[in-house]
Amino acid sequence: MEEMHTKKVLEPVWWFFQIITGILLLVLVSLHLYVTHFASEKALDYSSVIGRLSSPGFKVLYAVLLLAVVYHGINGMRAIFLDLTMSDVTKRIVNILSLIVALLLFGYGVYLLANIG
Amino acid sequence: MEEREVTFIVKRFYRNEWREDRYEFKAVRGMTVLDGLFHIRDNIDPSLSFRASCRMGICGSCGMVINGKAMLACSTQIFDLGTDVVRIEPLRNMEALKDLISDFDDFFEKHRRVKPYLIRKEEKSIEEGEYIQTPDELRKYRQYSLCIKCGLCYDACSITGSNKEYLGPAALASACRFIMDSRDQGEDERIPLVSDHTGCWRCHFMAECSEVCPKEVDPADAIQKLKRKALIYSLKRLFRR
Ligand code: HEM
Ligand code: SF4
Ligand code: SF4
Ligand code: FES
Repeated sequence: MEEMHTKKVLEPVWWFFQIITGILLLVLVSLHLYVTHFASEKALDYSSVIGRLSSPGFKVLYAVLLLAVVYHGINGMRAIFLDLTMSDVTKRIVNILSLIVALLLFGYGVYLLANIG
Repeated sequence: MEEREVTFIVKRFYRNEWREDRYEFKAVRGMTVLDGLFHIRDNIDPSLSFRASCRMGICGSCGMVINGKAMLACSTQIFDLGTDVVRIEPLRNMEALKDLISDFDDFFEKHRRVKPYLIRKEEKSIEEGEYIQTPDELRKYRQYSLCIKCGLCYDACSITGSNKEYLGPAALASACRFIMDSRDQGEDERIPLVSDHTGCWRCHFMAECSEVCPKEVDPADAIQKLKRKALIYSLKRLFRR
């Protein structure tokens, strides 16, 4: 009987997170656009931007938005790359590179959020 | 009887070379594209090769690309095409063998890989009787069992074209047909097969396969069901450990 390896067990979970982050994006991107373009005329002034980025509530919100965008975008790109015929080694490279790029993007964003304002 | 002069432009393959031949003939109302091809072979060019058997849309032999779309030649009326110039090619995403005949080896190999038969953990003896199934249990998979392995969906799927290892719509619909069958107990063997990089995660639900399917199998729907099944199966595995 074929044993289900951890990697295979996780593949459906990645797909599930893709849908969860997609729904999260729908909510958070709408909120983000509302705050920056509809809520007030001055929302994009330097002081307002810094003001928002100084508030712990917005920091958490942006960290979650960043996590959702990075996961959704990178995992989505990974899915598209894997649509090409490739060897197992190349598949591994795609998986590892996706993880590294995602961690770098998320890490850098969180670093900025922590240090601004 | 209504008659019309039509032109068939057939993309042909022979000894590693492609060429196009034009055939002009009088078609009458009621003639299918397959009838047209038989007419050409019997009266104009006996070297034209194509597959056909039942002439009634049930054997799945006569799949070809007609005016850009994968169709069964025997189920397609010439007069319904809305044009007097008909372009015919062999199914794409498969190797051509000769003229309109494509190599189905890979297609059937993938079908074989998903174990398209009932798997039982313990068999009942004949004396104990049949495996009873209710009409509702039958309805869960009946649609997926109607597949005639014509390969039209395989032609239509862009991922089948971009990834040689992708199991493809027909094989995955077949896997779904058995996974949804109440008599089947092969989940532990089949779900890992359809849930890896070459399985259902390659499908992005453009549903072109279901668009061309002559039997309304709706493989795209079957694959989304497989994704859900695979997720539930995985979550169970993760939390049981
Ligand atoms: C409005 C919010 C969004 C929603 C509701 C959403 C929803 C989804 C869903 C459900 C999938 C999974 C498709 C599948 O199972 O094959 C997906 C895939 C994907 N998404 Fe999004 N998405 C959103 C925004 C974005 C954004 C902003 C980007 C670009 C950065 C993006 C890029 C992708 C990519 C590249 C894929 C992979 C393509 C595929 O697998 O078919 N999405 N999205
Ligand atoms: S729905 Fe999936 S299987 Fe069907 S054509 Fe699209 S990618 Fe291929
Ligand atoms: S799913 Fe439909 S199109 Fe695909 S092989 Fe079966 S009958 Fe043909
Ligand atoms: S000849 Fe059998 S399906 Fe067309």
